[in-house]
Order: sequence, then C-alpha cells, then structure tokens
Amino acid sequence: MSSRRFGRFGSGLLFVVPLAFLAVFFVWPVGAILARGLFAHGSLDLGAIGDAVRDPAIRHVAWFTVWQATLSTLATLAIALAATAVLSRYQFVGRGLVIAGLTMPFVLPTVVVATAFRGLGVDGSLTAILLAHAFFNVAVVVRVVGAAWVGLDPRTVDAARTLGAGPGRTFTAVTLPALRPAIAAAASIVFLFCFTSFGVILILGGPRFATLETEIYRATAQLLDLRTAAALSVIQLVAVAIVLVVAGRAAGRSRRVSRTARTGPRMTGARTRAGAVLASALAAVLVGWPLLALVRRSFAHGAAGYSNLARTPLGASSSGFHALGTSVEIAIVAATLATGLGLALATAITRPRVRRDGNRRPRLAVRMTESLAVLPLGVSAVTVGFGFLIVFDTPPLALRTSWWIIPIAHALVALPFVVRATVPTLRAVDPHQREVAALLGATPARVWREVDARIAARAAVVAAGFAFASSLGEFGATLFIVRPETTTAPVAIFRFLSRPGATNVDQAMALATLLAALTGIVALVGERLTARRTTV
Amino acid sequence: MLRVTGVSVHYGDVVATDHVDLAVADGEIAAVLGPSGSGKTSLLRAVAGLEPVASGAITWDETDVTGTPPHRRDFGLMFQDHALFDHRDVLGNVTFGLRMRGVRSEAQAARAREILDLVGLAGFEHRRVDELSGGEQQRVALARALAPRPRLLMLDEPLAAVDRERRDELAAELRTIIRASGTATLLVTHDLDEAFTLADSVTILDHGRVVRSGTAREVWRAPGSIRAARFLGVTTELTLPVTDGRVDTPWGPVAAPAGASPMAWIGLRPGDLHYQPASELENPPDATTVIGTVRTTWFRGDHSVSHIDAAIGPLVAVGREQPPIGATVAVTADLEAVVILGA
Repeated sequence: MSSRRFGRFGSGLLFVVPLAFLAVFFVWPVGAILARGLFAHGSLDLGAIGDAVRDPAIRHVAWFTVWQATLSTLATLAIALAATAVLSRYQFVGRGLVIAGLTMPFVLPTVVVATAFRGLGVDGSLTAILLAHAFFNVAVVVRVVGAAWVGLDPRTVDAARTLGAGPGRTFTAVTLPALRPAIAAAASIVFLFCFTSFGVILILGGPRFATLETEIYRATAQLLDLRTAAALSVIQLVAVAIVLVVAGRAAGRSRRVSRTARTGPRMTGARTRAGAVLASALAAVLVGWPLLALVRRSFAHGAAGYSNLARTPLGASSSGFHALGTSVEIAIVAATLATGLGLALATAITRPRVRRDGNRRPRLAVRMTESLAVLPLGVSAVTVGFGFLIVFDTPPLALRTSWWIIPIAHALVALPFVVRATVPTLRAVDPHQREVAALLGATPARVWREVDARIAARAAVVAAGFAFASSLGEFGATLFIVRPETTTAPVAIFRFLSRPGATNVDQAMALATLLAALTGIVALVGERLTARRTTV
Repeated sequence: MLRVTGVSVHYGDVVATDHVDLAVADGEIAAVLGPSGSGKTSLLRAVAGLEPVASGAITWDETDVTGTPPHRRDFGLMFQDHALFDHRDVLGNVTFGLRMRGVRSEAQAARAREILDLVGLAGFEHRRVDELSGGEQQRVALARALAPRPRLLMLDEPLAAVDRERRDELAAELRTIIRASGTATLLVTHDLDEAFTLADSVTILDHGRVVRSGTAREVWRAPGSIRAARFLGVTTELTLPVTDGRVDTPWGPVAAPAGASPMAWIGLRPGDLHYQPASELENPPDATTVIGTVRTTWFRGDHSVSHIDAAIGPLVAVGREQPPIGATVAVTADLEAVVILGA
C-alpha cells in the first residue's frame, strides 16, 4: 500500500509544480491587467475602457486589427488551400521538400520575417503585412487541412463517383464538406495569430498601421500611459476569448476527421506534373523569395553587416553577437523549463486513473488543468509581457531586474505548445500495455518508465526543439521586460532597424539571417525526429 | 487456488458483475463463458487488480488479495490484442516480467529459452514483434505471461483474433502449453468452442451473474437459464405442461427438473432435430414424428438447416437433403441432449 500512496503523492506533484508556475506567471499577471483595466481605487470602474472605446484613434486601430486579420486569413487560405490541394492529392518527387519549405516559416522569428520583407522594400504597406502573415500561416493550413485531407477515406470519393458524381461534383459534395471543420479550425487559428500579430506590424507597419497589440506597446513604452494600456489589454483579451471559443468549436468538430487512418496521396499521372509545378512555384515565391532577399540584403555591403555584429554600437550596451549568445542561453533555459513543466502536465493529464466508483471520466481538476495549460496560447505575448511588467516590478516578486524573467516568459509562451504536442502522444499509449506491465510486476513508476517514457521521449525532444525555436524568436513579451544586458537577438534586430543609417540596416539583416539559420536548423532537427515517427 | 467470493464491479451506476463466485484449483483451466456485455471482462480485470471491486473478496490460497495492486499479485494476463511491447524484440517482451522481479540476466536468458521452446518459438529471440504473424504474436504474449511463473494465468478471448481455420489447432496447442506449465488458468470468452476445447470447468455469466458452472458437458446439458440456453445454441423452444414429474414431448417423455411446475421449458439444438421429406416415410407417421412445413432453409454443405412450421410451434432441424420451401417434412428428435428448465 505504501507505494500506492507514494504514487499518488508523486502524481500530485506532477500537478502542483506546473500549476503553481501557471498561477504565478500567468494567472497573476493577467489578473493584474484585468484589475488595472476594470478597477480603480478598489471599485469597479469602466472609465478607462470607456475612454478607450470612445477614442476615435483607438477605434480606428481596433477596426484595422480586425480588418487586417480578416484579409490576412483570406489571403493565407487562398494560397494555402491551393498548395494543400496539390500536396494532399498528388505524389511527386520533391513533395516532402515542398511541404518542409511551406511549413518551415512557422518557426521563424516574426522579427526575422518582418526584416526579410523589409529587405524586399515593400514595408509600410498593407501588402507587406498581408504577405508576411501569409508567409507564416500557410504552414498552419497545410498542416491542419493537409492532415485531414490525406486522412479522408478515399472510398467515400469512390462511392460518390460510382453514384454518378463527376470529379467537380464529388469535390463539392463529398471532399469539401468533409474538410470544412479542418478548414474552419485552421482559419480560426490563423485569424487569432494575425489578430495578435505584433512584430510584423511593428516593423512593417511603419507609422501608418497600428493594431491593438502595437498600441498596447506604444501606450506602455512611449506614452507611459498604463491606464490606457491596461484598458486596451482587456479589450484584446475579450476579443481573443471570443475568437478562441469559435476556434475551439471548429477544432472540436475537426477532431473526428483527423482520427481516421492516414492513407497518403495516391494520385499520379498527367495532372501531377502541373500540380507539382504549381506547389513548388508557390513555395518558392512565398517562402524562398523573401528569405533569399534577406540573405542577399545582408551582404549588401560585403560582410560588413556581419563583422559589425562583433562591435558594440554607440548608445547600445552590447553587440549583435552578444545578443545572439544571450538568445541561445535564454532559449536553453526556456526550453528546459517548458519541456519539464509541459511533460509533467501532460503526464498528469493523461495518467490513467480509476476512481473508486469506477467512473472513468477525468476529474474536473484534470480537465481544468488541461484548459489552463493551453490558455496562454490564446493570450498574446504582448499581454504576457505587459502583465510581467506591472506585476514583477515590485515586491513580493521583484523579478524585473532578474535575468530569469525572460526565460520564464518564454517558457510560458512555449508551454501550451509542449502540452499540445505531448498529450496526444501519451494518450495514444495503449492502456493494455500499461496493464500488462503492471501485471508482470512493474510498479507504477516503473510502468511509466518502461511504457510511457519511451513513447513520450521523442515527443519531448520535438517539443523541446519547438520551445527552443520559439524562445529564440520571442519578441512581443521580451520587448516589455528586456533590459540592456539581456538584449536578445530579435530585440537587437528591432533596435538596429529603428536606428538610422545603412550600417544599422546591414547589421539587422545579418543578425536576422543568422537567427533564421539557427531556428531553421533547430526546426529541421525536430522535423527529422517527427518524420521518423510518422513515416509518411 | 483462486477463490472469488461475491465480487461486484460497478461502473458508476452500471453493475458489470453482481456477486460473482468462482474458484480455480491449482493446475485447472477454468473458463468464464458469456455473451458480450455479460461482465466477463470486468470480472477478469477485477481478478487482475485492474478494476476496483465494489464488494466481495478475491483470495489466493486463503490470502486476501482484493486490495493488492496488480504488480504484486503475481498473476499473468494475456490480452486479446496481445498488447506486446513493440519497442522491444521477442526476448525483451518475454523477459520483461523477470526483469521486474530482479532476476539475474543469465537466469533470465535461461528461462526465456525454456519458455520460447515451450511455445515453439525457439530462435525467435531477436525478431521484432511487429514482424510476427498473428499466431506467433499470440505465442509471444503467452510466453511473456508465463515466463515469471505466475500463480494464475488469465486469458482474455485468447483465440478471438485467430482465423477460424486455425482455431482448433491453436486451441489444442494452447491447451498443451498451459497443461505443460501446470499453471492455474482463468479464461474468459464468448466462444463456446473455445471454452469447451480449452477448459476443465465452465462458468456461464449472464448480465453479470453466474447462472451455471460445471464441466463442459454439465453446462451443455443444463445451462441454468433460458438466456444461457439460447447462448449455448438452443434454437427450438417449447413450453409444455408437467405431469407427475415428467414432460410429454411429441417425441416422448422426459424427466422434469425439480420445481418445474406446472409448465416446463424445453430447449433443443438444431442437431437434436432431424427431418426428412414426408413422402420418404416408409410407414405412416407414428406418435414420435412431427409433421411440418418448411419455411426457410439453408444449404450447409454436408447437411441443411431448415426452419419448419409445425403445430407445436416453429422448429429448427437438420436434414441431409435441402427440401424446397413449402415442402412437408417429418421431424424426429434425439432427446439425449434436451435442455429442460422451469418455465
């Protein structure tokens, strides 16, 4: 019996540590923002929000936020669905490469992408913003819709054809309705990302374009108007919550589709070549062109951009290389934190538990933990950064001056992804395997080690890689809490871009190229590890 | 010796097993037979310690193990889907239980060789389990369960995943292996043949309750309930009056069970009733022949099965030839295996 009690104690710890982390570093800061936005002098006061809502400038910003997110989503869908149609139906040489090319941008730092589009010289225009958003989010659609499309039972199409439907009719009557939930889910995610987009707007929007996110930053950092910033954050939180509910509904329905067995694309023949050309051209233009432009622009004045990264520029406290080093250090700590906490949460959530009354539904606590763990996904990085700024500036936890605050913020941003990546893997463990192991004499801890850990290990590596890449590129939260000595690479790029002169632009382009290469490599390694598991 | 006393398993409000009593003697193979949803898998899981019991006790040699976690019960289980560890090879699977018990590696290897010999998989040590055939996987699962010499071996529908043609062969093989290991064995199944081929004793479970237990022959003759009788192949049912402790069937008298009064329920399996075309009768039908009309009929190769409408009710009988629908046939009965229950 004693080992049972220990098992319970152990699984309790799995809950308590990550939940404490989320309570302190997520619930508290967000709560503080809500308190500031909704209360004044200890009583409910909607004055700040009222002022913000009545302000024509802020109304304009809010309108633009929704409008650009809608346009970006439509543009992304148009490009991505064309590519997905080809990739899901035709098998051709280089298909894997095109998929990798189209999905890779998702892990690239927003600042790098924005810098690349600045290299194209289209900045300050709406087109630049839309293109940059599409550049990122095509990956989401290709992944989500592609998985559903490839997983469609080909026999339903065959059945429709034998019932007299032509190819076009079959598509509209069978394939499209089956994909609709996946498309809706992908569209909601894309909309959310574009709605909360920060780095792209800040760098590419110039003085003309501002969204709620960039307005929160401007109110905080330039106008020092925390009252308005908090009010804007509350508005932003409400808007995000609405999008999340819609997205959750869409995703909930799409789950049924993705559960079906993967069959892989099966068409070959005459149209394949046309499809292959189309998909490759899309990938090349959308992804290859901006990245190539970035690399080319970084060598505009020979290697000067790179060599200057070793120098500490006037008025700055550290060099570009130093910032890159800081980023790597922070990313290592953030990835470790996020993976450890995420894995503990995923284990706690998926741990099979039989209750005395035999009821098998997960306890309320488990379901709430799962929701709480993925909640930061919807809350924008800017909100996290702003919350950190107002909560950790003063005791009891005056972490503002601590080096640790940045990796903690990065871990918080990556945590939902880690949980989302590992929970399905752990859920997929055959419960009979655990039971057999127990009957063969394995203690609960040993069962975890022998059965779960082996399966979770690869998911954890992938999740760690993602957390690492995400930390390397994290910009929105970092900008609020960064200090001169903790300047990260994305922040350094942003600072270079904000300074006048070709030398600074060269350095921004060079540092962005290095950062892109680093995240690209990390993503590639992660991709390799997942590819071996799924063996498409 | 395993003894299950009054064990109930509940899932929320659903009662999966209801005060089940069961015993498995040392070296005995006992089967729990029941249709799906009868609670047999819940019972097996309760014995394994994978499901908490709402009431009752599970004891091994008079020691209560009801609250003992699965890993300390020393019971082995073979799942229907085998649940092999596919990240380990055959040897890794077979030695798993030995490793958990801290057996030295030389001893592990020796025992693995011994048990793989027993199941006929010598030389398979380093094969990947996902490359094996269904039958080979099953033998690995059996070897894995038997390797640590468990006190009790439990089998969940052991032959359900096997092709019908190979069933008898594998059943015989399984029985030989289990016999050779001398392990007390509890198997649950919904397949009559599987239970009768493998087990020394059979317990029939219906709606979570034990309705009958005994040897295969005893259970076959007296299934304990009408539902169980139907489950055990009864297709012709007659309700007839009891007079002086016996029932007069159209084919002759049979003894009524104690307490069956005023009516008794008579159950017959297709093989108990035989028909032939009435025209072929050499003598006019006597008192032990029932005349009826063929309603439907199935060709079964060496015989045919027909549903026959007769004055006493619908009959399901076998015959050598397949009669045309609507034909008049004469039905005779062999009352040797008739099932009689209180109506």
